[in-house]
Amino acid sequence: MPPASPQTGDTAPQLHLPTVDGQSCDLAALRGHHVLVSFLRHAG
Amino acid sequence: MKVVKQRQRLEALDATAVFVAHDDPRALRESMLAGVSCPFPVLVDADRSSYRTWGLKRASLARIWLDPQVWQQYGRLLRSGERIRTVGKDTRQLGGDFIVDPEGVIAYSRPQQRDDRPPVAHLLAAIEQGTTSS
Repeated sequence: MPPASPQTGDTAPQLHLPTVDGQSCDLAALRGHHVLVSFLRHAG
Repeated sequence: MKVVKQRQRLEALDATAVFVAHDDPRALRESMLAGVSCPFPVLVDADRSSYRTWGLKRASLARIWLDPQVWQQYGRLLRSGERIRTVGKDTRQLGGDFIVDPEGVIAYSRPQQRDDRPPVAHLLAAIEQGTTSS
């Protein structure tokens, strides 16, 4: 079974991925700000 | 990607945004990002491992394409001037929206159940609520 989505109050899961520009982005590096993390369904 | 138009409001809330997509970078540049100057990072998760880590599921075909709300939403988007873009490689992968607070804690969680996404105003209000209560 895949894990359930994190709920309010949970520690955010890690998110460290390359960007479309070939850079790297780590959610942890954005600590100190509110961050909207938006997972897209598809590129349409 | 309507959030892109709300950059100033996000910045005023000391907030930012990160998009995660699972299509390859070229497909993204030629579709979703075509003609869009996105000020926020667009991350590429080709194997969708982060989608699984964040608990985002794949919907059944029936759930996606036989849902009248999906067609109503497409109708609304087309009427508002949105253009039809190339669909990515997996139309069944669901997305979701989360707000992470400055301490790295989930302040808002909204995984998709179908092709439903909360209005941008709703997301901004959730961030605003978090900034006023923290």
